[in-house]
Amino acid sequence: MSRHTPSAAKVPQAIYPLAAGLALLMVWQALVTWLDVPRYLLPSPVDIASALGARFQDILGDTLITLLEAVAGFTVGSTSAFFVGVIFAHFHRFERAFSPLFVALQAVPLIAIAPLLIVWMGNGYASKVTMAALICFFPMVIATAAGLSKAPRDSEELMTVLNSTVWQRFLLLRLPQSVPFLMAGLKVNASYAVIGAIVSELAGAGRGIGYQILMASYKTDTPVLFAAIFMAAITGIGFFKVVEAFERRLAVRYGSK
Amino acid sequence: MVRFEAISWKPSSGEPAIINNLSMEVPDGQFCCVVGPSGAGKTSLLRLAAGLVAPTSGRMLINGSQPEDARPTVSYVFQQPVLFPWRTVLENVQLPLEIRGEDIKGRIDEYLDLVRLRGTESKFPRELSGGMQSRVAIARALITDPKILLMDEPFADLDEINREHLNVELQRIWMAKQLTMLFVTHDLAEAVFLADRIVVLSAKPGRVFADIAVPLARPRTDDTIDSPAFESVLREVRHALRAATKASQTEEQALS
Repeated sequence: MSRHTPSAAKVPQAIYPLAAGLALLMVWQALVTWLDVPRYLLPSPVDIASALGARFQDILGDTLITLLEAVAGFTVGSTSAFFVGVIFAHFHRFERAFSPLFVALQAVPLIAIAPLLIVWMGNGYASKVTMAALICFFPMVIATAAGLSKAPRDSEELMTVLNSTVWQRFLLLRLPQSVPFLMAGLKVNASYAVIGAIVSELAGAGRGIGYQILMASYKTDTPVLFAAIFMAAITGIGFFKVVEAFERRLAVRYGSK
Repeated sequence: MVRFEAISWKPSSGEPAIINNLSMEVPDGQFCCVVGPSGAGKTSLLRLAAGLVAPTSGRMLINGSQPEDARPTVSYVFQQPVLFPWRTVLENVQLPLEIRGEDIKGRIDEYLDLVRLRGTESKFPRELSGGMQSRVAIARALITDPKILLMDEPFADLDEINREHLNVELQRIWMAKQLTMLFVTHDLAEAVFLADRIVVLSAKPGRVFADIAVPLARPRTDDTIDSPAFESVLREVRHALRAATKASQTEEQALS
């Protein structure tokens, strides 16, 4: 074994992608400077950072608004989908009737209806939350229904011979058994919800990160455009990481997919 | 009392019968072992008694009532431990009491001692060996203080030492609690050690091929296993099983 291995093991894993990211930024900066690329086409990382710095309060406020819309949509969409999933898993006639419909609807690019929601609900927060909720809904219904019906046959039979009620079977077997499925659905939804909120903002809004992106693109203010995209990325990754951390805590007991 | 009245059972109408016109009765307090070639429907017998499947024809009676209604007095030990991986050992053993709305902590310690699992209460099933998992399943079956115990090769995953220990302990529990046992095994020595009576099934379809009494004194010990009487019962059972297997094969050839 190499003598360097023990000290290498002490380096936090995050250091490698961070170093790679930093290297890429330096190459980007160097190329833009040497090739004299116009700022409106591709600003350098320093340009973007200074644009973000100059407008930070503004952009941060809009980022938080988008995050709130996403979290609200995520919560409403995932929760209502969970209940529909529970109904699907327990009433097979209902499932047979609606499940194919839902699977088909899942394939519909829901972002296409964003302008419709603006027409119906105006360009306030309601249309953003609804968009995020809609996008979260179908994957979560499928995840819940799948998870709840995945209990092994002998576990189901154990509950039968133990004379459990339907409610006990749900609470003591099916729900804990489906936790990895639910968490997988929620993780997907964390990213989807941010996408939904931003798409809805792009379709019409007075605030939010999507609004910043739209305004910057009208003005061809590419550094601000990049700064806003950067914040959108941070929001999506951050929300995903929070849900993932929650999943990791639950996985100690319930396992993960 | 566990009573099979002219029971036939097939998984679905198109398929051949697993069990055909089987009648037998396990009186209260009897330790009945079931052996037989694979495909003889040994597990199906237990599933019928537990009400997990209904007979295609005939009647299944537990203490004179339907298996579904008798569940509070019956425990079932599956071939697999069937532990919930998100529950600790203690929580798995407690599960039946939780479902019944009882909470008797003292009893849990008693049964954890019995299956030698003290000290593992807060472990998760994945941290246990296969044998330890089987013992958790047995403790879970006993915790409700059943009158009838249905066991499907519960000690198959255990090593010799643990198996012998649990055979002795199972005998002790059975005597103390006056349990009625229906115990499926493929280990003939285990069957002879435990049973008052050994039912040998033949396969395809399953029916009672031989019904052998085990007239060995209780409580049986290591000395019992070494005795000539034990050897002679074991030989009788082995011959019966051999004949049952041969009969099943001839029948199969005749059918094809």
